[in-house]
Amino acid sequence: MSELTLSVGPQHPGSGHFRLIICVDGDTITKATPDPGYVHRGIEKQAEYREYLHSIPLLERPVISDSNGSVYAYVLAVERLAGLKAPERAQYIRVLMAELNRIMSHLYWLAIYGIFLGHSTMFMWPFGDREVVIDLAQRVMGARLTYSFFVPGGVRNDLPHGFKDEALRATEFLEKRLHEYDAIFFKNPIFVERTRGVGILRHDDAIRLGVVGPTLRGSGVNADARKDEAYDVYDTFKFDVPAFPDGDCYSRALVRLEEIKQSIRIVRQALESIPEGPFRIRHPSVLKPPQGSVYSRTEAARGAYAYFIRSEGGKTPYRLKISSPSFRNLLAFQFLMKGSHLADMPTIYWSLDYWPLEADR
Amino acid sequence: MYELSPVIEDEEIARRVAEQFPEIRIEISALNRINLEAPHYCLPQLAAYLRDIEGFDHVASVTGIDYPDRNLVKVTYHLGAYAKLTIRRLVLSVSVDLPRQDAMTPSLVSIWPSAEYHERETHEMVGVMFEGHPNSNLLLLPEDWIDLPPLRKDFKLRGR
Amino acid sequence: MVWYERKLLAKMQVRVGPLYAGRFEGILQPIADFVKLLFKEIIVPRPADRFFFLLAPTFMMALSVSLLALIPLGPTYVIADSNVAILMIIALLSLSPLAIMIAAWASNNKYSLIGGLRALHQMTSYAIPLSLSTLGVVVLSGSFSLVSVVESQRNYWFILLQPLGAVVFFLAGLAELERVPFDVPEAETEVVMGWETEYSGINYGLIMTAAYIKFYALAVLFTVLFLGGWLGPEPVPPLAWTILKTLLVVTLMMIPRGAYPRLRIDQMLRFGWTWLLPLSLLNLVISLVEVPLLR
Repeated sequence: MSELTLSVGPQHPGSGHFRLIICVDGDTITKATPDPGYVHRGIEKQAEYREYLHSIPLLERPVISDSNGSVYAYVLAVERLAGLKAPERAQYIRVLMAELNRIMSHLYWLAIYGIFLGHSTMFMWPFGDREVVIDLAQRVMGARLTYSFFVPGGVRNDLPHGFKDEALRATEFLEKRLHEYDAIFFKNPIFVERTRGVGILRHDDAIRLGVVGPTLRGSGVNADARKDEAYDVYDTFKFDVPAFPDGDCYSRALVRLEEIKQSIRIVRQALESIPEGPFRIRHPSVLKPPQGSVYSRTEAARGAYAYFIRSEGGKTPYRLKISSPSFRNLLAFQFLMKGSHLADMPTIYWSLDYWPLEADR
Repeated sequence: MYELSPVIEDEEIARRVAEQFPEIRIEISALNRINLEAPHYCLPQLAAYLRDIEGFDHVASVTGIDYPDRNLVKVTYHLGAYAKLTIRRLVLSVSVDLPRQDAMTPSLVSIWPSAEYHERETHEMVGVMFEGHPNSNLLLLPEDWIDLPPLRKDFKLRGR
Repeated sequence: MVWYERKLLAKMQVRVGPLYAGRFEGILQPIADFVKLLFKEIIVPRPADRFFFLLAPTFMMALSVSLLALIPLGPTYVIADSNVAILMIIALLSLSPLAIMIAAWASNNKYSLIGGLRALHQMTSYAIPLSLSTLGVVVLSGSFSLVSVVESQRNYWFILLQPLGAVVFFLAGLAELERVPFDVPEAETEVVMGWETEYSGINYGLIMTAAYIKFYALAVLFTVLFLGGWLGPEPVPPLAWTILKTLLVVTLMMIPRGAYPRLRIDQMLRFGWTWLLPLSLLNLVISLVEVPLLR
């Protein structure tokens, strides 16, 4: 058969609008070119017209399944720029909410992986269990997915009464479910067949291509912004950064499963040792940071999120640059899909956890 | 190899770079943040030095800032390191100042493949030419974009 | 049976399944769906070959119903007993790839064609082990007639004498029915619905019904060939035994749908040729050896 050029997307059964142009020769993919940009909304430009506080709802929209991950880095950046420091209780709350979001995002990822592989149970179970975590979030922050909860200087409100017990019960429930997931999904012979040895990204290639997040850790590089450059109170928690050396889709899936377990660990420690105190410091509502630039990074669910803000002393940032993990993983598409079966394309695509909204901003 | 405290290690790196490249301005702006300002012609050698000797193996992001009042465009490469554990905490920024009308700088894709998409985005958003870049097609903007690069200050959002 | 499957799947997935149609837990849901399909417009795509496009679902229905007619549910409950029932069943099953190709080709649609070709590959590859696994039973019972097959299971059910054959038949049967984990032709991310893509309304209803009848037929066939058909202790009437055993088989066939993702086509074909085919041959040899032993 001669070469065929397929266009996968922009509407397709995965998540978000993104086009992948694939050249197929028979059953083998010879070239895969990503074509992002369908959901580009010019968020960086819009942020230049808004005050620092007003950009927060704007900036959490790109990554709705893990909105705290993106806003966290922004809030840290603004704090460093303006010379504010959040009180300790607020830092604990922020860590708690960020980890809950990580769990939510990974469960969502697992569910959609089920759709891509044709396993409807793998779609139903994580979505159902995710509701438990979303309920917790709703109790604290009032919304299910996008919260506008993190602000420079702390968080918008305190934890409600009885939150600790609810959260602990939720973590016990999740742990039990994770055992079941391991048995039914991760040890499922067909799941293993379809993901083992597929889309292998070697250690040095992962470093060279500059990928981030579970894609990187699935290739044996255990870099994690929470450990490399501990922000807020992450340095007081004991947790591991899982990394598996194989570099195939199965390793990347395992990394995410392990990360949920580690997040549960952090949540428990945070609930035990959270101190009393204020949850927000007072500052003028219109922030006017002095002239300067700042680069901040956090570890969101999909990888390292970074913000570069340049301020010229005004009410609005002079330049806001967002470095999102999905954008940094774009190179992996070209690299990994070359030479694989056509039927492996969805498997590889989703194991990279590409979120078009986040990449396009 | 003995363990250096982060502050001392940052200063060591700054000192070594200053020795190799006397025409570069170096500043340690905060903990774990080193900023370099370089003229664009020594970018390739600086990049090779940073990658091979210092161990910065990937580009995390490329930012372009437009300063119409100073008539320049500043392009900043933010570098990170994965393989060398002691500098994982470090983000090194390399900035070049380019004239607004004719912003051209050598592309660093041959040294850091991870820069490819970042340079492409900066090209379409700020209007900077990266010489030697493998693919200069528009990435995020629609294919029929004929207006100014959006992140230039003369491109104003309607209604604001 | 459609309702049973949907409820079973729902329970496996911590859901409830159909709930509202009909007083009892949505039992009228499949009927509601079917009636809805009856009301839909029959769309035949303009570039499609009208005659064959409309022929294919009818052909499939005919195949499935004939299959059902040949299988005895009780000592006297058989619509068309035949001395060569097994041979006829194998022949009928081999016709189903033809029906699918007619549907795929007549649709005049790139994705239908790809799906149809994949279904063709799958069904022809798995038809051979399916047929061979029945031959073991034939050897043991000495006849191609299904009634005598059941009668010769008075001493031992064949599943005990022919475990390999039963397993091969079960798996090959799942593949013939295009059920998970073998549903590559039906629901890939690129081929929309495979060869069923262009079918809507009553045509789709006919195809779906034909598929479910075939499902049921293969399940009863499994019961007849390996589980002793209607044989069982007296107080329970023979027909009830058949129904109970078939229900068990049907449940077993439905469970993989909730438990497994889809196999990739080359993995599936490799599995059929490297494992099922040799196992069915081995089974045949074993049964040939068992015959003198049992005398």
